[in-house]
Amino acid sequence: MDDMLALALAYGLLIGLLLGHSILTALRMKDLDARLEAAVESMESASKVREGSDLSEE
Amino acid sequence: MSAADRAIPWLLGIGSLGLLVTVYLALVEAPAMGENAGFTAPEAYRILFIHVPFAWVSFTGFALLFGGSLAWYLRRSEAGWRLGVTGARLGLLYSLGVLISGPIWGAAEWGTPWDFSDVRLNTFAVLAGVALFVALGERNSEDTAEIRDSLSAVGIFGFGLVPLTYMATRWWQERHPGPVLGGGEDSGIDPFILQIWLIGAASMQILFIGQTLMTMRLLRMENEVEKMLTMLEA
Repeated sequence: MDDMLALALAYGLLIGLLLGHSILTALRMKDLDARLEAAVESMESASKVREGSDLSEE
Repeated sequence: MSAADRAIPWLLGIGSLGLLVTVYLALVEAPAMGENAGFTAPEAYRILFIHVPFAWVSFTGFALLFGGSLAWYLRRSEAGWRLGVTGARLGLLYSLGVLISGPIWGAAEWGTPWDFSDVRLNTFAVLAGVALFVALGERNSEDTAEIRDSLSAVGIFGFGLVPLTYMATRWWQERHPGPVLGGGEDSGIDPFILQIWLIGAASMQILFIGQTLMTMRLLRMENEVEKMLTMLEA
């Protein structure tokens, strides 16, 4: 393989690998944050519904 | 937010900055190495400034995989399991870096990207395979104690390849260059080149610590989401 081509290819791929990993991890973190928030909201609304039905039973 | 979580962006920032400095030193400041220095590809040797730190840091990933697997196996430690998974994921990332850059340099310097008679190359590739197996196994399997046991066992026994890989160039040096540090009378390296390697390794290690904390946080969050969804379904 050509000397300079090897150098450019290796550095390009390695920087791409680290950047790609960082971007993917950040996206997963964002997705998890959104899912966590949605789960908390669902739990809150579920507990409100439960409280409401308890009151009406009384 | 814990102190470790607050440190993540700092560690990632400092590590990335250090890596940029390493790339500048490797590509601009380091001298070209001609045939008189024993290289047939005088520019491609600069790949080694980043290949070697990638390799050193990948061993930290395998050590985390080993320690975490052991903690899960012996103590059923949740944090240990998360540490092992983190070690597998990051060990895979950094060993991929080694397996990408090494064959490219080999193709330029040796005229072939791989030599199947070289023990160092082969044991390192299997080590990357161990990390790949654990990382994919954890992601694609049901999360049960039995699956965790099996994957931890692979992580524990796979670690045996680390000392073998380290010693391979001392015992059966074939194609991969011999040790430059602590390798006896024939070993040694230009101080400037060593300096760039150490800056690269330190920067990458800082980046690795940031990535470790971030991956552990990610796994914790995944666990919390799973728990909440189970509670909602109940």
